[in-house]
Amino acid sequence: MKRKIITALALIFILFGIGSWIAVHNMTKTTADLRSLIALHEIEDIRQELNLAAQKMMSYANAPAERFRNNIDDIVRDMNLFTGTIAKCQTCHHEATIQQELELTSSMGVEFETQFSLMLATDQESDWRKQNQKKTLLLGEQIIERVQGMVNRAAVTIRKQTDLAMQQIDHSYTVLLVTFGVTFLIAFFIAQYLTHKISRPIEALSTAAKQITAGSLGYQTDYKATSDFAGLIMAFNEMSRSLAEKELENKNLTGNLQQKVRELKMAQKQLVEAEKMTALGTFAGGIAHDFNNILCGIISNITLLKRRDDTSGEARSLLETIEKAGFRAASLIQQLLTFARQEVGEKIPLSINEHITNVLKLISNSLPPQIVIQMKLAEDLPAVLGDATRLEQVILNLVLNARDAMPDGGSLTITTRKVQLDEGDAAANPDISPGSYVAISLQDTGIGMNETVLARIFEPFFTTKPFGQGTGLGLAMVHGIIRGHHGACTVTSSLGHGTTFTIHLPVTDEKADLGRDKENSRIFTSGYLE
Amino acid sequence: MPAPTLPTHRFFLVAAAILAVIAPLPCWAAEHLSVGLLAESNVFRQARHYEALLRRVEEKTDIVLTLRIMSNADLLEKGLADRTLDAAFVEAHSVARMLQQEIITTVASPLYLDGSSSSHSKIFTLSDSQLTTAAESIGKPFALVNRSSATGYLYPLAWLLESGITDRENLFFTGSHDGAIAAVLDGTAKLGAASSTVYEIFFKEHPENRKRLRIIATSNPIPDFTFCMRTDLNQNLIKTLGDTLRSLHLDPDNEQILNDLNLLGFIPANQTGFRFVLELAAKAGLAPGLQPPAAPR
Repeated sequence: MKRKIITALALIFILFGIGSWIAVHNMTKTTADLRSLIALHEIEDIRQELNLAAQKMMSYANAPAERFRNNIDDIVRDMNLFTGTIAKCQTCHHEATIQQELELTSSMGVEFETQFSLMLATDQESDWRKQNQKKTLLLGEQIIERVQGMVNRAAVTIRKQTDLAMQQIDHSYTVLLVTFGVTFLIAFFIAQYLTHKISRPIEALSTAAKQITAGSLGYQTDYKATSDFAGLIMAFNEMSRSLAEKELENKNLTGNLQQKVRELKMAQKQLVEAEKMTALGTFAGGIAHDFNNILCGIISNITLLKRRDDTSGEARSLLETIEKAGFRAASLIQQLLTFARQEVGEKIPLSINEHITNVLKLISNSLPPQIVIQMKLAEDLPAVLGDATRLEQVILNLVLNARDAMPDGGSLTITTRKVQLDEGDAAANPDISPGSYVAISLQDTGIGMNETVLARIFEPFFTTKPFGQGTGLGLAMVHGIIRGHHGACTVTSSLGHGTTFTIHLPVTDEKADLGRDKENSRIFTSGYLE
Repeated sequence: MPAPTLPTHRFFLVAAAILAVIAPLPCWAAEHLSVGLLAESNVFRQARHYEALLRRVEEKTDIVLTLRIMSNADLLEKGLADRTLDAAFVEAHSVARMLQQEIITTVASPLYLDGSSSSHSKIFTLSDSQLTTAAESIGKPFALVNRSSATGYLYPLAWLLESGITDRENLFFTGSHDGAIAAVLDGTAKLGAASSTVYEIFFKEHPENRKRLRIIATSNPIPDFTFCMRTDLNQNLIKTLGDTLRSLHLDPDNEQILNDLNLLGFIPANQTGFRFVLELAAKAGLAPGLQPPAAPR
């Protein structure tokens, strides 16, 4: 575009320059010719003056002698004018032919002056005077004739030069008019062209800018520029596209950030929960240990008392009651220790599906008929490394909790599957490390829990059951057992819709040892389950 | 209380002071003089040259000088006599006559390029003419200059009278010295008389014609035209103009003006030369009473 503008301006300048040069050249030539013409007119004035002076001298020469007596000074003055005019003529002309003619005229003038002087010196009529008068008149006529001839020739020349000058002036006017006209037209068309070439892209860019301002990031103008604006429009479209991409990226980043914030909050919550559970475990473990020692002493002494012979039957009955209470207390202490110490037995590779099936077979008769159990167990589920007894205890506890949550019946769906947990999952739950897990979900359609209950569900001795119907150690023990397996137990619940417990147990590469698995599988059916 | 008197003594003091200031100024401070000139050769050329001379004198003297060309000697003399002219370049015969009447005083005489201050009258004829004596000129047309010229009028008359020729029928005035030469050259006259000064100038300009003429008589030195002023003019004025003319040659700027007049300069006029003119007039048969000769043809 810049090149086009420069080229256009240069074209206008060149055209105008050429036209002006021609016009100025013509004007200069015309002016020079006019000056020459003016000079010719001035010369013509001199010729006329010479002619007049010659005529005047002729009138003097024709006059009688008496007339000279008192006005000879006038004659002298006019003769000086006459000869002076001839001299002036000679200073004007430089052309050889005219110069020669003027020199001849000048010599004739000198002769005329001499002859006139001879005539003038005699102020009385005489032959001598007549003779000189005749010669003077003849010379005068010759001079006048010559001057007249020069005047006539000069008039022709002047007329020709005048015509030529007028033609040149007309030509100059024409050239000037044509130059101005052509330059104006070209300038007009160039201005139109440049305006079109500049305004259209600017309008397109303006429209695009308004669209972007209005929020249409990524708006692309479809104007097809062929000039420098093509690059500008391309850059503008690229800028718009880049803005749109950046905006999308920002949205993603914002979403990710929000997700991270949520995850962080969840992790914080889990961490707090874990810390809380750890603190409770430590606290409960310490108390349980001491109580366990105390109970050992109590139960041992009761046993000793019962063995004594002197113990009456009534007393023995009471001791048995005390002993039973002691064993029940010991059972509670054991559950508390299980929660607190997260103690598990020997871990072996086992198939969790099999143990779930075993547990359900064991308690199916004790579940009310209104409760429908659905099993969705993954077939090729990998083995997990765990204590079979403890894990069956966990599943049994969760199934019984579901039963209690569905007093009017419902469905319990038990699902197993293999899952891959990543860093995000690990960040959301401090008990989890990235890796492969077997996920076990128990989803009931029971009464569900509110947030307050949900937050304390794994605390020891926390129960929603009426006093005396539960110890509040079942889910705490579940939590402790699962943590003892380096797994995680999470719960989600919606009040009135049901609760879902999900257990994640790390997968082992080893195959499940079914023989040992069955051997180690045993359910404490009394004293443990609530 | 006495009446106040005019401070006459103060008036006279002021008047005296004014006079003291203006008294040293020349009395001709605003003088205008008319200077007459009688043609002796080409009148127009002469007018130009004398006009230049007067302008130069005017510059040097602050005297306004007006050149007046006179068509004949009578008008010149009359002009000086009736004071319409104040000064003039006058031919010798007129000078002599007006000196007698004390109309004029001579102021300056010309000093020619050859160092002389006078001319000779030359009587000439065509080279191929058989004329050698005055006697042989009887009946032949004789071209003279004018009555005021000693060289162009008095001497030829005296030359003729000396040979006893009194017939003046064939004499005619050409009005100028070069006219007399021209008349002989073109055959209008068989004889002519002119000043040797003009004669030399003429043939200096027309050397091709010099050999066409032959001198048959030459006079003794005769004073040529002389610058004269009226005697009644202020003597300081006369002295100033005379001094100016006589000192022109001292200024190199005046060389061209003097050259155009074929002069080296001006010298003091010697009035004794004009006695010879009067004697010549007597020899020419002209009475001392200034009687002009019979009008020539």
